[in-house]
Amino acid sequence: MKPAPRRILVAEDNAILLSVLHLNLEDAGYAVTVARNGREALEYLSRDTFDLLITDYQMPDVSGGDLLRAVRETLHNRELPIILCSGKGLELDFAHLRERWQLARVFFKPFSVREVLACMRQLLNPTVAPAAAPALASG
Amino acid sequence: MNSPAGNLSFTRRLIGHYLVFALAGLLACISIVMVLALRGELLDLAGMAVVVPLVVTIAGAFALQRIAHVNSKIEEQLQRISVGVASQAGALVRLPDAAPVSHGWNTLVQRVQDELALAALDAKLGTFAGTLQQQRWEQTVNSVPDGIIACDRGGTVTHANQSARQILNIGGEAKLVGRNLVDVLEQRFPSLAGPALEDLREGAGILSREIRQGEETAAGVWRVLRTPLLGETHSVGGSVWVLRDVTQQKLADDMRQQFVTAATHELRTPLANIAAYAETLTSLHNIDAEKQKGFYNIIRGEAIRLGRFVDDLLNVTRMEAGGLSLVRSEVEVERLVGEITEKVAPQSQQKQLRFETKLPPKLPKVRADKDKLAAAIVNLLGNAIKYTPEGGWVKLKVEADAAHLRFVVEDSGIGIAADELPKLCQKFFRSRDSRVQELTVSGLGLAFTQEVARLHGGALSVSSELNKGSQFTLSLPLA
Repeated sequence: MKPAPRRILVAEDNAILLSVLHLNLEDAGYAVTVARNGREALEYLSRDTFDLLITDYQMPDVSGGDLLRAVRETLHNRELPIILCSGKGLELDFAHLRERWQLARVFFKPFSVREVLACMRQLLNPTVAPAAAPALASG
Repeated sequence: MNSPAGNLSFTRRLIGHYLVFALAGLLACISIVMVLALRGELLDLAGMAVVVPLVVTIAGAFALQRIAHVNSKIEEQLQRISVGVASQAGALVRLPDAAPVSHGWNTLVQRVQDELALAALDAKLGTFAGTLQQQRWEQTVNSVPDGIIACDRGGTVTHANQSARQILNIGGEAKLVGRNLVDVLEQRFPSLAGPALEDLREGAGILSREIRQGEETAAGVWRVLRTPLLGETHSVGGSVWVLRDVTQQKLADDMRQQFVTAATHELRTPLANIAAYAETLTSLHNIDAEKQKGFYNIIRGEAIRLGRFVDDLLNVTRMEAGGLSLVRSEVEVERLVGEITEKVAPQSQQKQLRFETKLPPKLPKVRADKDKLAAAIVNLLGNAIKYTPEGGWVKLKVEADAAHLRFVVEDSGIGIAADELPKLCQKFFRSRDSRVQELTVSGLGLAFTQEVARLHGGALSVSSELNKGSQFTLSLPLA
């Protein structure tokens, strides 16, 4: 029996980018839900369960930062792997953000969709992790 | 030679010697006369023999003194010089006699007195000049906007200029002198603590520190520079401190930083779209031809957006550097409006907006930079079209009175929230309105339009009501 597709939530206010991410993720076999801002994403997160969250940092209404806090602190969801895709540069302390909100990975725009997909595969199926991280995979 | 004889004048010594010899002669004479008298000879003449030589001798002494009078006076004065009294001009006295020696002496005295007077004047002038120089130096130090403070080796203030007292909020120099400078700094800047404070306290070597008044840059930022104060033998005799207000510089730095951050973000967004679509076109093989065409169009659109942003950026950079200048010529307003309409018509048709222009029958000519004015109005119309939902309207009205020509751009668009109106012309401003988040905005257009209006001596004004529409008025003086 074919396993149910992994559920991915993508929060991105740039509609053009959101649409192409949607297409690529569906093509890779994921069940994709898209949110146009942090508020929408939060609504989805409080209703459904997801296997992974991809979010932009700078968004209107509820920003990426607010969303991260809500996921980890309000919803107490500490397990959800999160990939942050940011249009900001080094002015944000990403090392601090990664540690504080246990981010799986941070991508800077413009990023490679292929790299994001590879990262997702690794996060969702640790057994197919690259040889560089066998200890992590077996643990 | 300070023997008593040496202190008597030459003339007196001369007279003295003359008298000794005279008296000796006299005594000899008297003795002879007495002997003759005792023998009974010349008895009647004995009295005369005593009196006459005596009178002659005394008369001779007087005559001698009269002759030696001038020399005597000169000698007296020379003696006074020898014991040092004559260093004052008054110690030398002119002689009343008309004798050549007196005349010579008087000339000499005059010269000496002149010289002494000159020297006294010179000394007075020197003191005055020194005071002037000191005053000039103090004025110079007090005119410097930086605070300048000198401290001794123990860190105690010995001198401070006016700016230093102002920066440290201390009234008179007296209140600052004698106090430990680092203590004063600690009191003045509560944010100064820990290792930064210790560094300032330790040693006298070159040190530069930035002190912030509060969290916000606008509250005040100072740069404190300490350098050793070198003595004559190049030994460290204390320290010199310079306190400089760098708040404006820091604010400009912050602005520049914000500009770069915002510009980077504006560049990253279209770049991210281009990269993602180009990558998708090469990696996904099941995209139909129609969709592929759409993707290529998106890439092209994003590239155009990038190009436009770079143009805007260049305009604003030129504007910042003061390099945006006008090339004025006589502009026919009807023609200008015609050209502008041609440029924006396709955009408004695409959104199915009603676009109207309204001009009075007679319009004055205006001296303006046609290209920049057109770009500014196209900018306003572009915004109106962008923020007006399909089916709405956009108007360009031209109004003129005796003093002004006004271009009014009106729309039935989404409007602008009252709290966002003042920030509208700031570079990279972006409304929080969720309806405009997906629109392509550089955030530079209005800043440019406002600058074009300003350069023409005019102004840009805005009125708007949320969900009803906005009205932008670019007004130019006609004179």
